[in-house]
Amino acid sequence: VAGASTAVEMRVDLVERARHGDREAFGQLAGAEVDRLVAIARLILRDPDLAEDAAQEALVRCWRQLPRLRDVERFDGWLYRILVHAAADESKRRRRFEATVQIAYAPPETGDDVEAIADRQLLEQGFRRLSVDHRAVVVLHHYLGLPLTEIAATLGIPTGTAKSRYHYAMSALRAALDAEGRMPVREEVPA
Amino acid sequence: MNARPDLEREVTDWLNDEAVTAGSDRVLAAALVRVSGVGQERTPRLPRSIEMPTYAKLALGVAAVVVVAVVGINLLPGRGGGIGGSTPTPSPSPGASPSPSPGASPSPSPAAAFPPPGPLTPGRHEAVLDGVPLSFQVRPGWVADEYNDINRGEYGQSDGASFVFWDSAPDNVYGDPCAHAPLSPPPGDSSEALAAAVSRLPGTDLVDGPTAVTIGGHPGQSVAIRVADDIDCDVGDFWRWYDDATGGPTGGWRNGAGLGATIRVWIIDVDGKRLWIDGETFAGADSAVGEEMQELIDSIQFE
Repeated sequence: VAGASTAVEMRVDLVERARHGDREAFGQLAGAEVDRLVAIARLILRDPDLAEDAAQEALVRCWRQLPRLRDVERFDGWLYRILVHAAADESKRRRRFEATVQIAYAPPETGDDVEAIADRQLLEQGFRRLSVDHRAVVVLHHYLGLPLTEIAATLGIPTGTAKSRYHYAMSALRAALDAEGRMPVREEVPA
Repeated sequence: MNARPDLEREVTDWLNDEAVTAGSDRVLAAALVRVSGVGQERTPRLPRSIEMPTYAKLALGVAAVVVVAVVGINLLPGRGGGIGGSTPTPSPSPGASPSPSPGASPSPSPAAAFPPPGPLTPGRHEAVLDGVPLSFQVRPGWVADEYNDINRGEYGQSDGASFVFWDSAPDNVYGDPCAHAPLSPPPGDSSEALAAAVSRLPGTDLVDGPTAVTIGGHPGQSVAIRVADDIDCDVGDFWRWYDDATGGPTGGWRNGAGLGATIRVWIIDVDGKRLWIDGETFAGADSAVGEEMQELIDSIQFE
């Protein structure tokens, strides 16, 4: 516990120093966060190049906006929010050529493994049809394990919006896995 | 109907299997190269040496005596003490009290004459700028920062807005905001001259003004500029104006977030004192955000 406490204190210290313009501290902080940022960005964007651009942009925005961070203990959530915004920006660039990179899917023959692979391809296809906002909620919930209330706070959206995005996304994924693979009709219920 | 009851687990497994960090080294290296040439977005830190109002000095002195006598230790390492007769507590909790109640959140410097950091309750709040007491009214959603800022929404985003209430009004603008070179010769001491200098700030487009205005019954100037999309430096290094009391051109400057940000400056003459408030909205901002900011300015009252 003492070790964990020290690690937390050291991290808070890094954030505080970086917040006051210490580039070396920021370098250490960025080094500790970059793997997670890249992983999240790749999960959301489904494109390694765009994900790297988004993660890089998120780190630069993080540096620039750190003096605005009011509570250093909320650094993680604040950084995720910056990353999701950066991912959304990169996604806008992507739309221009997205139509050319759709994955061709052929249904598998038989067997459990083949079926599992097929399911993941269907998940992939269903996930790609979602907006970045919807994907972000799914990734933050299922990859980072954040509860929806915390996701709402992280993204600066009402809890109801986070919940509706999540349920819409999961319905869409479920539909993708169904034989018909249809999207749900309703987009989002305002909170 | 529910053919896939384990969908949640399926999605969790899928995402965890898909999570890869390849490319992190490249990302880190590229980001740090960019960061090395980029400034941070900060508003001016408040000077510790700024002259305090007499009543505030007296109150601070009384509070300090009480603290020393009763507690016997120095409780004022950074943000203890207070203005307006506050009683410091051993564990001040910035932001714990959203209201500007003088006794709720003690602080030692002139910054104490501003609502403490944290969410602002909707309604009227008090502040003292350069010794001039005033109050202003906010709608829900505004948060006070530690640098005499109040902000709403996401800073730098279209729903965001940010005010800086200067504790000491700027004296000059930058003649070259990217090179951080002060305007030379300085524009002069009048509100009109300063507003005119703001209106001509290189790297910005004039939105409107300068215009003579009345705020809280006192005369002033208002001018709005927009940061151009083609400035020659990172926007974090695009410095706009400064005042000598907060350290001069390299001490207390104003920069901000985002190309296309619109900044409106209000310079108010209050019985010989010049006050400066600037408010910023960001690219894509809805007109309602600007209207809400103007509403706040219109709500200002002086004692």
